[in-house]
Amino acid sequence: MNSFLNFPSIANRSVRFALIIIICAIVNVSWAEPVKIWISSQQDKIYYDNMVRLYQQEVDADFQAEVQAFGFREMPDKLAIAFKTQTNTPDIVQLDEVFFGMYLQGEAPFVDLTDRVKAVGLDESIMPQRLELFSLGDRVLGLPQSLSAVVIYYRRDLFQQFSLSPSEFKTWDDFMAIGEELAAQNQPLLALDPSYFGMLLRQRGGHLFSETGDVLPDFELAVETLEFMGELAQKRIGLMPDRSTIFDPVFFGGDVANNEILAIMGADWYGLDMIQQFSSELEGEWGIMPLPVWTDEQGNPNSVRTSTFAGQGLVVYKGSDLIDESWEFVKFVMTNREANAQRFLQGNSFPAYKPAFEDIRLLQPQPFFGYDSMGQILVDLAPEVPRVMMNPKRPMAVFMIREGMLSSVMYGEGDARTALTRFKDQLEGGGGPPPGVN
Amino acid sequence: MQRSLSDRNLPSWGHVWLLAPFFVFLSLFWITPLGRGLLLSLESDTLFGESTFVGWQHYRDLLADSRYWRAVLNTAVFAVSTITITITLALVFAHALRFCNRRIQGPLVFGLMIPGLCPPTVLALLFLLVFHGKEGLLNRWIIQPLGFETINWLSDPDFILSAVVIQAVWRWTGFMAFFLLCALNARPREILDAARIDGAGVWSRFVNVTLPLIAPTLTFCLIYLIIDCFAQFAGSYVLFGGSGGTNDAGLLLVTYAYQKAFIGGGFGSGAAVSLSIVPWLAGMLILVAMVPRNVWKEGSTR
Amino acid sequence: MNRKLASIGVGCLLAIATIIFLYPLFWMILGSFKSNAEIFNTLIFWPREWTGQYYEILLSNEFFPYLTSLANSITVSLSQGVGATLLAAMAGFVIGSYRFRGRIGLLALGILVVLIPAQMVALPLFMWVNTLGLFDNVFGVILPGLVSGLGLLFFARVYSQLPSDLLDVARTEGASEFRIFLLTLPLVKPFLIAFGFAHFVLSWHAHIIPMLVLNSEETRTLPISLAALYGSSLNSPQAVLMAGSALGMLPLIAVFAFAYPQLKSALQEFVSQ
Repeated sequence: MNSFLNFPSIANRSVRFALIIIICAIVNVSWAEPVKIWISSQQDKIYYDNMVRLYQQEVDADFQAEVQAFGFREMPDKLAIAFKTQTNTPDIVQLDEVFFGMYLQGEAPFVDLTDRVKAVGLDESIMPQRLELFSLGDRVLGLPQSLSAVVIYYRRDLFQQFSLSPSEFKTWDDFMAIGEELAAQNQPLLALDPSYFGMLLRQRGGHLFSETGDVLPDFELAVETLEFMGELAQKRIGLMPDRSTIFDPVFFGGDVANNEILAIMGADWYGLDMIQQFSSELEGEWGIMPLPVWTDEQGNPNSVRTSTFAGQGLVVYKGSDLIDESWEFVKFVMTNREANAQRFLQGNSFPAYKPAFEDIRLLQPQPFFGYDSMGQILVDLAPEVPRVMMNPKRPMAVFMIREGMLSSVMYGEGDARTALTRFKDQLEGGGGPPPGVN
Repeated sequence: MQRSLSDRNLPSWGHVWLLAPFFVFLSLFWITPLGRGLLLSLESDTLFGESTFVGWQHYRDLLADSRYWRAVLNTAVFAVSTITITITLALVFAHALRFCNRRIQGPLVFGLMIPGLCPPTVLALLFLLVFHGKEGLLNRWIIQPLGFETINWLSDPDFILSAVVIQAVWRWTGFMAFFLLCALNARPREILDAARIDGAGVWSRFVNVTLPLIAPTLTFCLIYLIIDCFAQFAGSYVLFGGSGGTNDAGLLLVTYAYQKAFIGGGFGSGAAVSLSIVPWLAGMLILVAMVPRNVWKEGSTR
Repeated sequence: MNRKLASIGVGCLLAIATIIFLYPLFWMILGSFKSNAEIFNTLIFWPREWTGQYYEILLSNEFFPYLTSLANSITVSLSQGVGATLLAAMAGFVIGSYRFRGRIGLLALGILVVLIPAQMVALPLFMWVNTLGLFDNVFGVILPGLVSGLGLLFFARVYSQLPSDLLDVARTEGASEFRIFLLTLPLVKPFLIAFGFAHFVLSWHAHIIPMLVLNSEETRTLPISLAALYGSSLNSPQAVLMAGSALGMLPLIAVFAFAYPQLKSALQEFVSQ
């Protein structure tokens, strides 16, 4: 007790105490700001809220984050304005690849993650084609959340009714032949969607943009592909949904429920998200098969069995004050076993992270898909997923395709060559700096 | 007719204080951003980072842009169709409402106004169902019973603009009917009786007596509708979410501005398109404001 | 006989019209009891079961604080309704009652506001509001909304029709301009309410500027909060959106019920000069 009143020890303790307070204050001030995460759907917000909790449990209990969900169309709008005005900017954004390109004109507002990615070996553990998706040149600007491998979802019950089996659909020629037989019985086979153009083109090794930014470098291939889609529509093998899109809830309540189509081509997230949600009464009646392959003149297969379209990714804002903290969280969501599993189990998407492919939970047979295992099929197809050439004009291109620039061909109102030429001219004529230039 | 003009033509301090709040807020919150917007339209389309001054480049690009002129055409057709149909229907309803019992007029008017009062997000969902091709409510309850083939309102280029017109008419007819109802109620009895006694037919009475009497309200309605058709994005956004439909069939000027800014990432060119709306809008308004004035002067008995 | 036929015809017409126009409201209310699959099936009209679960979800604030958003909307719209009316009436009073140089110029400024599409002003306005420190603050929406060009034109017109006897008396007695203005208020009460209601409704549904300025859940207005439910995966039950919108109509209905009698007499006087 006497020593307690001893002046030197009091001074020591006070000094130490004061130092501790000061250090804590400094540390708290720099860690007080929560990391702001912007998400474009309510469902994903729930997932990310869970991920934040998981991160707090497993890695850093002091981590603070604010997850905000906006409307699907609203989020990119708000983001664009935030970047333009440098106000109210988030730290992490979950962005769909379809919108990503928009921010690449001029200086990209995203942190160059290349070195960080290499440092933890993510450049090897994430499927390279998917890593390329959110890159510009050599710079990795975002990490892909999903494999987005395209498969065909077919109706088991209707296949049985028409005595069909998935093994009959080896090539697109087979597909066309079976389709013609069905069309003779007034039964369309496949739903059609404008996004199929990109998917089919990519499956054949073509691209919307070349590495140097030219539009439709494989023009003839593109014309052939579009003509193929037109043929499907004309022969009534392919059915255009009312709103010209398979991403329409009424499509499920109408065309699908009325058994008007036997199959839909879509990515992993399409089956997990839309089909499971809107076709829940058809649980067990859906099956999954890889895409038929394209063949050359001799009939030899010359394409892969899958394609890719869209998919979300995580990006970090360049002007953020919390870049390191954000990166740690992003890295966690990408690599953590539980995070990858939950993404699949909660009906979001199949991860592009190779180690996750061994997780038994992702490989289990699924009652919804008639005990097919989507995971098994996707793991099998993963190496064949084609690349997507990212380009600042990609959002505009996807938008134009979706808005029917090419749909006229499917409605029989014009030929593929003219439509594609117009498409190419419009894209090339648009303003903005040449792609690939920072 | 001005009845309360004071000839003390001075702004006294009292006047300035009364005018001040409105005009101070105007300068603060509208003129300043407007100026900034104008400047924005003269800058390059850079999203992140320094933008450069490009002068009238965006405007020059617009003049050469076929999609822009398509948008101008669409907007004009849309505006003219919407306005004619809305005003006609509104007049019909207004006359019909006059027949009704006073007590149910209120709820009926409210009923007509509902589409205008509904939140746009709900309307977006509803329109999905109404305008759907085969399953849509419009097709099921109106088109098919009339014996026609189903129309794919949202994808068929021939009908896309019609869908936009229908939703605009649906939203505004109620309000316009209400305004016109009040205008009809305000017609002086004596003039109406005089015309009837004179033996003029229903149509002639309408054109020569009613129209001039309700002309100011009619003009107000026209002005409001023109502004809505040219400058309001909500209607088309609710239907198409920023797209112009197949072959740009439903592309309006406001839609194009949105596309340029938010999808193409070019706020400069988007601002240029938005600003370019002003001359078209002003032109239409001048046209409208001029014509009825003559009608009014002639037909007025004051 | 003709009269009877005519009134039956009119009755039918109005009945059909009412069904068509009231449909959104019915659909919205019925939809608040339906599952997603039911909502998107055009064959289904009545909900399978009248479950209140979506209202419960809404009011449990699972997606966003509903009552807060509703309160924000009411605050913003009421303030704008009252404020814009007052400002427009004051300015309209001066412009409508007196002739002076620059009168037309001021009117033209007012029209200018009306002419500019909101989209155009949205971005610069947002930046400006932010500079003023009003980001994520309801005043960032209310203050710009106090300026209504249509209001200026409306009240300028109204005041130019006003009989000046009472005012002239007050003026000769040396009353200040402001006092005279206050005197006019009872005379133009129906117009104040009419315009107030119109502006209330317009500001209730305003989207672009509130979407940009109001960021956090505590400040968002109802339409913005509801729009976030209309997301990409559409996994969220849309019935919650319907329930939120249906309940959100109640303030609008209340204000309409209050304003309707005034609206009618206001507009009748307005048009009969």
